[in-house]
Amino acid sequence: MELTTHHLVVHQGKTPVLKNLSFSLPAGHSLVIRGTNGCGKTTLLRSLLGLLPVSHGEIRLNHMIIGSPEWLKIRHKMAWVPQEGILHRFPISALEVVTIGTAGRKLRAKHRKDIVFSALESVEALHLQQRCYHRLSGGERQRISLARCLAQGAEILLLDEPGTGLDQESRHRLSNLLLQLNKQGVSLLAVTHDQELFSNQSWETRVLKEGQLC
Amino acid sequence: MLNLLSYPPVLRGLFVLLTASATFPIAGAWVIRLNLLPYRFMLMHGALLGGALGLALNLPPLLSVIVVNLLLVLLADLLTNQGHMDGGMATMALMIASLGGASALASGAGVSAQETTNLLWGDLFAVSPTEATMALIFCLGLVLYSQKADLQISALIFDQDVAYTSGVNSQRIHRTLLLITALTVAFAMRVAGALLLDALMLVPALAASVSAHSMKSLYRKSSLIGLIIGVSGFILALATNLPVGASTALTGAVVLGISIIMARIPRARSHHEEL
Repeated sequence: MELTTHHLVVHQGKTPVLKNLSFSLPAGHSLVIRGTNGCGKTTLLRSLLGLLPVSHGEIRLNHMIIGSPEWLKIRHKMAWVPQEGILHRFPISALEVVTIGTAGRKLRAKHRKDIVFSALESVEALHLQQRCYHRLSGGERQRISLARCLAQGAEILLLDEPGTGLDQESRHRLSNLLLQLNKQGVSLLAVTHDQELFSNQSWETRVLKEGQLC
Repeated sequence: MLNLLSYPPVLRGLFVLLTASATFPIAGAWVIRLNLLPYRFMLMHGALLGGALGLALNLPPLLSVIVVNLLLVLLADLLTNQGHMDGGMATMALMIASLGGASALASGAGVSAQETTNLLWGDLFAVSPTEATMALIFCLGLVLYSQKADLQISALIFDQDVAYTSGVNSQRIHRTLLLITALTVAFAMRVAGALLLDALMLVPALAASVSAHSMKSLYRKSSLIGLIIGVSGFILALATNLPVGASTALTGAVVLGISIIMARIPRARSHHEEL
């Protein structure tokens, strides 16, 4: 699946946050967008996911305009891992979080279970399934979120500040895991203010500055 | 005390209370996590307006409360989605209008003080056979829907944006949950009164959320705690001649207190061991 933006403009209130932004993420590619805090990285991801209205320009997922009725049917092909994971104190197990990835699709119970366990296995998190999601460490939560995206059947993963709150070992583990997923054909788009994250990998790197990509 | 159960209104009341106390906490869990508390406040006052309307026009109170609450939810939805009004502001405006309408109706139509009090504290033993049947059907529907849409509801509870991006029609589910909440408040008002209905809806879910580690365990524990509150509240009401709404609220407060203390004991013990 290819993700493209063409002269994208997105406003937050009356302020333009993204200005005339164009880029493309071909199938199986990985891209890291770096930028300082508040430069519009999260706004960009939320726009790509159809969570924010586009003021001008367009975003296409495999030639389907984001927000169109055709896109609604395949929107689960693009998944996101929000910054620091979702964190609230309400009880939910890691297994339930991963199963949520399949919530938008009608599946037989057995098939759903197979998908969920396969996703957990892919991120080496089978042993975490019964744990309360909110009591997991930052790295464990990241892996569960990735498993949720895989269970969703996503072909493009959008990662918002994936390194935040992770120690060196967890970062290394996350980096390897993403590399593996990328080899399996999953496209990756990460936004971060961290200059070191993924710097030793062959990801295409762009910088978001004043609402424009450099 | 047991011979009181030979009276049909008492037995019917017990049956309705047990059914409600085991199922309403499911809706309570949604209200807490989806932050529907402003809606719950609006609906609570809507129940008062519906009750007053029923008394003034000589209509069955449950029916008028259901109609008013459903209308309020639809109106709030219209104001927030079509009128782009803030949800808190819309529910606040409707809540105040409901309360004003209820007091104007109660005084203008010459509704008796006793009947008005029943709206606030509930009157379980006045539940008619029709109302009991309606409550049973509603509770069954609530359980069936919570099972059928379990995954989609869990997704919404986890995170609305994640739910949307995973393909869930989050707006439709959210709207359905609001309508179910409106009906739950209407039935709960009949059982425990407008002011005490939280004892049946929210308290069990709150108490369960202290120790549950998954959505499944939360639902199970909420229902079980709801049942405990319902049964003990009923026994207390018969033993002390208190209104069931009041005794249920009192036992609910005790159960919530115990849950919080019990959840803190292991934490305090592990802290002590660490030291």
